[in-house]
Amino acid sequence: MITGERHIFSYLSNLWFIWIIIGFIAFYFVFIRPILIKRGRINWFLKEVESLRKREIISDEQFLEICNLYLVKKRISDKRRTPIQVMQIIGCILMGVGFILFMASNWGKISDLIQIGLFVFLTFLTLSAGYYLSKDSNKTFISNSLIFISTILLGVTILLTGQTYHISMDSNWILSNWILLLIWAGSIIPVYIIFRLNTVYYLASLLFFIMQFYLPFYTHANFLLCPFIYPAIVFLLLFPLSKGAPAEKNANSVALILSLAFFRYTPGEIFLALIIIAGFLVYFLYEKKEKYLIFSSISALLFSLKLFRIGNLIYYDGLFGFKLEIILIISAIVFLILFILAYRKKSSTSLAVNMAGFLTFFIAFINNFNLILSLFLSVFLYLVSILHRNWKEYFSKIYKVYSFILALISLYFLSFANSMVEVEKFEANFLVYFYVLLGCCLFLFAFNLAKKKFSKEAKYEIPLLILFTFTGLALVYLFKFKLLNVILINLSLLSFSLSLIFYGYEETNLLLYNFGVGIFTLFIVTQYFNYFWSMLNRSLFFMIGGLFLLLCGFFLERKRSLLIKRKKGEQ
Amino acid sequence: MNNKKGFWLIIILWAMIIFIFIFLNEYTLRQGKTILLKTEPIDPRDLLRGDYVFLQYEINTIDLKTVEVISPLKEEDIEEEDIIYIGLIRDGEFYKPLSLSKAVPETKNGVIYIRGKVVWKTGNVIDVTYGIENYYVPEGKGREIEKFVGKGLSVEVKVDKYGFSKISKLYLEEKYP
Repeated sequence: MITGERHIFSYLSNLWFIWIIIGFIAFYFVFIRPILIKRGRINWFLKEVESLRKREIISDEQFLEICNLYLVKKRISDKRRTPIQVMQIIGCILMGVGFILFMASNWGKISDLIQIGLFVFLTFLTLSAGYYLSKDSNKTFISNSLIFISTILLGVTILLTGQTYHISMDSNWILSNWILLLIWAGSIIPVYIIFRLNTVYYLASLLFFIMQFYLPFYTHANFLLCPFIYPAIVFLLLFPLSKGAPAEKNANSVALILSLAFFRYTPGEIFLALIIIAGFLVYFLYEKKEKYLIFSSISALLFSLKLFRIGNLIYYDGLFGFKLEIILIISAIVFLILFILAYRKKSSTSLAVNMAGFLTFFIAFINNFNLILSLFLSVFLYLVSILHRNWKEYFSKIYKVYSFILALISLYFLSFANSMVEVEKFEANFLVYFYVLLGCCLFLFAFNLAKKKFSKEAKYEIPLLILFTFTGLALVYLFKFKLLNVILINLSLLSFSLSLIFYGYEETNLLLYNFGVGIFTLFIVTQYFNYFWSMLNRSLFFMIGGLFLLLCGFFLERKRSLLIKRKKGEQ
Repeated sequence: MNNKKGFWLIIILWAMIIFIFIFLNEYTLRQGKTILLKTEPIDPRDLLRGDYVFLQYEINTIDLKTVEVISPLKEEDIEEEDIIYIGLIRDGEFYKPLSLSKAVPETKNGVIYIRGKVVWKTGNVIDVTYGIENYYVPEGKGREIEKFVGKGLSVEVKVDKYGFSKISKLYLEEKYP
């Protein structure tokens, strides 16, 4: 099942920065965008209400009532802060600055216990002040701020105590950084429960998230406990606590997925992923919200990318007594469940992510990124997309997009003459997978034909389908006729790009048209270099190539302008 | 639960956490026996807690051939992740390893037992950590101590009757009394 060869997907999972980019994108969509949209809407609404108040259409009381309804703490503009309040604020700031300066200049002279005592005192003082001010409904903001500051001061006290007693940061020791963070985060959870401050919840979530990076992950003895601490905290503590606050759950879901992306080469990694997938699925079944299914699918994709990098499976084979076959069966069951749920919920996002995960799994299962099998897989996926034609539009499109991408990758790499390997050189299982896939394709084709699923698009797609299948068959059965194979592959790729261009033009679909042009250019440039580099004089090589591309570009640009005009005309 | 009860609950919880935390550390420092260990500094930085010196002690690496493995424990039974107790005996200024066991034996003949965890085993040699490998210093001071790399430092450690240890002082060699 395993080869030492690395293929494109193994590099993909090594690109750690991709996870960071995914993280940022997810962070933007989950947190920033909703806030911006919500804030924008509320600001517009408040401006309207304010203008109504100024025109005396509504009274001050009604204005405040509306603001309260939308949880906006708004003051009537003529009720500004009194000079006394300003004095109090300045007084607080001056006291704080004075305290910091005093500490900075005398810190070394103060004994350790007094240092800790000072912070303990400050923590309790801030918490008490926050609590007493919370009784006055006009001082909610300042009381909330003080309570939040007290939770930070508690952390400072704990970390200072750790520093004072030189507590080891070596995660082999029970009392190390992770336990300090766990104590800190755990101690502020009651503050959230009692005062319901979202800021405290987010602080605790962040601390738990950071905590896991300090966990002693790398040892076998800790395997049974450590990897599961963070998912257990999120699913059993943070999720139930955030009842009715989707943003809080979203934040922790993203954090969980990020943690899954960052933890690598650890013995418990595979089980950690399964726990996270299962956790999200339980919440999906319980709350019936699509987002949990999507989170579960994303976790499965990451799991798949990590697990099925070529070479990585050797690492898991026999780990904790698990045979490779069992790991593959578990993975297949995971994907089966996710696909069933995506269909039941009719979640196209989940299906799209599942497909990416499944393809990674498939590639690992067939042992390598076999270009001939992936060509047949693309034909198979196309037929599956036809099967969905009248069922749900997006489902059909998802299968088709994956089919196109797979066909493009397979044909492009096959078009290099030296990539054609004789079939005998493939592994023994190759023909088994090949016949199974071919059988599935034929069955689906016959089924689609019988059910009259092929529509008008098929006039471009069916010839392509037949050409691809024939190319694939020639590669397997006629591999000795190399020239024939080269012609067939190049013809397939050329037909693929040209049919996209024509179909895009006919349907006035600029995206498809441009995509086709892109493939066409790639094809021409690659093949030109491939076949003429060694045959022609260098200057002649570039001149002829350049001229050909210019002429092609001129022709295609004319067609594109016509297409845009047509599109405008249609509108 | 109303806010008043909740507030007092938080106060009690926080006070208990801080108290237990300080008590456990102070217990070792106040009740423990004093030993002096030879060490060498390396200077990394803890993102959470500022400058610290990483200390590599002579007793971090133990050759099982040079210490007595107290029965019923056998040399081959020692595995990574095991909690062990190293018997230390004074040899000149410093303490050196004498014996090794899995349970804490009673202190006798001046032998002090320190609790450690096996992190690595290669043949007869084991790497052990004791939780005293970090020494936190004021900001920037780490660089000053780092100058002693290769020259060696001495650390005064308190070891309580359960084998738990805590650093009480760090001596730059020339300043050692």
